[in-house]
Amino acid sequence: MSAAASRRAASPYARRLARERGIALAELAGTGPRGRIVAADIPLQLVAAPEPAAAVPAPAPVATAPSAPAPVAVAARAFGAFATNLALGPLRELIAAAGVDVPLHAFLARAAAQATGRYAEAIRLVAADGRSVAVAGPARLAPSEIACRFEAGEGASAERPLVLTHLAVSGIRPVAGSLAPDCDLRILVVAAPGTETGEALLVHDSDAVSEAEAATMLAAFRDALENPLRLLV
Amino acid sequence: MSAAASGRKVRAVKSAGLPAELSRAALLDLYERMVLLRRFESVAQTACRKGETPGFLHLYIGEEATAVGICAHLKPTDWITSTHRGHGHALAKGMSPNSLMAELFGKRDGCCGGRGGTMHLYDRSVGLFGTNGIVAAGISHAVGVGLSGRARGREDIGVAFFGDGATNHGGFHESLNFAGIQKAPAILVCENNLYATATPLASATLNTEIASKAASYGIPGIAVDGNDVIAVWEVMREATRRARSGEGPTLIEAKTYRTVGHHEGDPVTGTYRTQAEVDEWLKRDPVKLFRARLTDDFSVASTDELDAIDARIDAIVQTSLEFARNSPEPDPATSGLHVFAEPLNPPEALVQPVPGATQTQSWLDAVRDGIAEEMRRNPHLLYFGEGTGERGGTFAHTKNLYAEFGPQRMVDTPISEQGFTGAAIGASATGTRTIADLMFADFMFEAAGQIVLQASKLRYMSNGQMNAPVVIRVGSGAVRSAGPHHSGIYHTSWAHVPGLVVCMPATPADAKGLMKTALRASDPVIMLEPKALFATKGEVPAAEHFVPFGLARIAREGRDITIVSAGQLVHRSLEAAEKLAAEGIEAEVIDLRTIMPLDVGTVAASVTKTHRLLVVDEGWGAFGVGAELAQAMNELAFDELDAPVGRLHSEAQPHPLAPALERAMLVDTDKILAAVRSVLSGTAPTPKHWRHLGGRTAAPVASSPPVPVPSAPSQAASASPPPPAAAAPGGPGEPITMPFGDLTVSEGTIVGWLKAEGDKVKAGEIVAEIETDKAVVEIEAPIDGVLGPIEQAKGAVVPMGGRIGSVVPGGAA
Ligand SMILES: Cc1ncc(C[n+]2csc(CCOP(=O)(O)OP(=O)(O)O)c2C)c(N)n1
Ligand SMILES: [Mg+2]
Repeated sequence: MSAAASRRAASPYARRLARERGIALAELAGTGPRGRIVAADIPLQLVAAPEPAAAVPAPAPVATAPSAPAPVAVAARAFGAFATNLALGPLRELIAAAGVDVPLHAFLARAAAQATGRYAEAIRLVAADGRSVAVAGPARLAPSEIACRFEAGEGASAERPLVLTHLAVSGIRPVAGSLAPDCDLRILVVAAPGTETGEALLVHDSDAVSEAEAATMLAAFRDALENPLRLLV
Repeated sequence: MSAAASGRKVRAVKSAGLPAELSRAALLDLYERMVLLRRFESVAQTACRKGETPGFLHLYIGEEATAVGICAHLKPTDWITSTHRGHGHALAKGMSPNSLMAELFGKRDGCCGGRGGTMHLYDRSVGLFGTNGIVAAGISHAVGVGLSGRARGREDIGVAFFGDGATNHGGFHESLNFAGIQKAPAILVCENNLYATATPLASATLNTEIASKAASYGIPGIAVDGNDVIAVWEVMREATRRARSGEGPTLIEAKTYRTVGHHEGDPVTGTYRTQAEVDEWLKRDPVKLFRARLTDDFSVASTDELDAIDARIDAIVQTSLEFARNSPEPDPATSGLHVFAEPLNPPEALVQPVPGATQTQSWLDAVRDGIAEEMRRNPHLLYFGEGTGERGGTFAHTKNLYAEFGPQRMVDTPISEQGFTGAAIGASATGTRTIADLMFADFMFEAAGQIVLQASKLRYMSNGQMNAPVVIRVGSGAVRSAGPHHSGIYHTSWAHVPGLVVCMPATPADAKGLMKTALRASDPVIMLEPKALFATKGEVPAAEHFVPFGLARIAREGRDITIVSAGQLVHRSLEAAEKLAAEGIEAEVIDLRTIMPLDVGTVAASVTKTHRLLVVDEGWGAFGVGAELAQAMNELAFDELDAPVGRLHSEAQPHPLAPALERAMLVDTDKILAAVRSVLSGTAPTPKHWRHLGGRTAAPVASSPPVPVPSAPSQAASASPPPPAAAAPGGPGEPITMPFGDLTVSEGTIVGWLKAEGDKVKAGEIVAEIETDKAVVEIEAPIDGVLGPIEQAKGAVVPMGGRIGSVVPGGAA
């Protein structure tokens, strides 16, 4: 049998899903034009699940490959965690171009709020110097506005806030993070001043936030930082 | 009869009549400069022959007296524009020989870092607005420079050098005329060396007296012996006085001769002239001639003294040669710098205020407000256009601006798109940002050379020293039978050109926000406003409002397919999305807003969610937005695609007049629905522009699934012109309708009825008055009869073509 004859037509997205779910294309029937296998033809159930990490859809791939998910087990509450690399170059350029003195953590907070949607009715922003301020409705605020409220220190006490922590150290990769009892979701960003790359760790309460949702939110957070003009509108 | 009209030469003064300003020092200075030009080019000529300069050189040898006599009157803050034969102009204006020689060598320390070279020399520090590879292109820049100086209350002037060949080019005539009517502080210097390459002037025009051409434009023209530096100096003194005192431009024709070939390597005589002719002119060599007069006629210097000057210049030129040889090659890593400003967006566009109050505004009002806000804030902002002054613009798009800003800023131009666009570039590059309003997108091609070859490359050629923040504003796109010359959009043609920003908004708010960003940006911006949307209304932020370049708007969220569009087709795409929603298909609609930069990131992110993409674009498909985005998805989101990317464009043909023919070529809601279904079923619709490659047509693949065509007959009315109302009977009698007559007015208000229901009327009698954005129009009775029921009362707003009443024939009484 020639290689050409054995090749099954499949959309790029269907190939990707099959790869991720460990399914061989040869086992499938395609419903697309001329028998092409499309995403809808890839069964949802797993054929093989060698380790828990594989059960989780990986964050959507973009230019920089995210690092492998790093599940963390903690007693009492069920936790999940995911990590990814961050390309901070575009954001640093935008901050420089805007010529305004808005700190990085305000943009991180806005991106986190945008990426986590309903989990970010309020955000508790923990800056690199350790100061911690809660800000309500961050997804509707411009980064400059978030910065102002942070500086004003008006800590509106909020129900189950998203926690965004910025650590300004270099060469360090976050592996696990704690989750305060009053919150379900936390993003920890490690980014040294002036650097073009950083690391992010998302920790979530698995009962409140599903793993698929958590992974998607971290991917959205990373994407938002890489297309930072969107943070302004 | 004036010298201008006769083209008579001004004789050189005798020593007795030497002007008082020409002191001994001044005379020796003129001599020294002429020697510099000559010796520099002799050395450059040798270097060129040895292959040390990457390009070939057009030498100025034999013409030095003209540049030196002209530039002796200029200050560093005056600007000159020059030609392919421009080394002499550059040196005469004060450019450092080191910097010039290094540029000819293509080295890092050249005036443009090796980006420009011989025909693209720029030096802001001495007021050199470019030598130029395009004949006649710099003339309009000098006119704009003059207008810019005047707008900023300075006495700086613009001086254009050009050859006899350029005087047969439209750029010369348009610029002369525009300079004249504007009384521009500009001087136009033609160096008539009798030939354009190998074409004698006499075989290119029947009127070889170039100075006399000024009379056509009502400005003085004067011919002068271009080999006599003092004669040139005197003529220029008067022209400069006129320019600086507000009396307007002067055309100077300097009759001279190049005693070398057209360019280095070209034979000195060629087939077009004889050695005897060259020898005759060599006897009148300007440097030799002046040297003899300094020693013999004026007795201001001895031969030894002049030899000492020659030796000093030789040393300077030798130093420049060494400098150029030792200067490093430019770093290849910098090759791509200075195409656009970095960052591209002005800071204002990157700081978004918290959303505040909005007001409902029409497109034209919103953009007009944006322009007025910027003109109030920036007193050095001009608006050039045809009929955009007191008349308020063809589309009423500059209404009221003239009343507020006056004729000096709302400049009504002659019909000379090339000339005033070039002037807008010249003004914009020298501190007076200018909008060039070219009326219809189709007309941009009249100014295409200026846009593509000058504005877009200025930053790059000048190594980032210069930029042209000009805004080219046009009404664009199809709107009801505007025909082949008034319907085009051409956005991808401009987006193809590095250095141009191309905007194509779809809402009044974005149109205003992008216009304001454009008026703060640093690069040329093509602002394509869809004519079909001029009468639409939308919510516009009441506070300062900027929209950044390169950020698409998500006009509707969806999960099943992404439709990307821009301009008027955003609204058709949204209509299609609503129809699809009724079937449970949720389309995400992205409004690109700017074509260049293209926000591929937002599209890729959307495709990551929907896994399917259809590009809907008003431009032609070949090499278009669809092709560009499809490839971008290959690069950025290949693994996300569950179906091939589809594209839907206007058919690749001119826009016909007949509505039935035009509808067939334009994208509409039904075509979008069909294309969406095609992509959803896994097949991209195949455009017809491939048909010449072997007869492939719309449905080429035998096994492709049938594409359902929805039966919905017409698109919703929101932004599209209403259908003519004549077809819709509203009662007995002959309908009275709102007139058509203007492509861009879509509605009018009933000012009043002059007749009452039941009144007898004669055909042609005025029965009502209506008012549009642009005029009050009288409505006539279509036939003799009796006025029927008034269907639209005073104050009603009715679409053009809509029915407002009727006349019943005959009439009982
Ligand atoms: C618009 C345009 N057309 C043609 C050319 C090619 N070309 C370069 S120099 C030249 C002759 C120009 O003659 P003239 O203006 O008299 O200047 P001269 O070379 O005599 O100084 C021509 C035709 C060009 N560069 N630009
Ligand atoms: Mg010539």
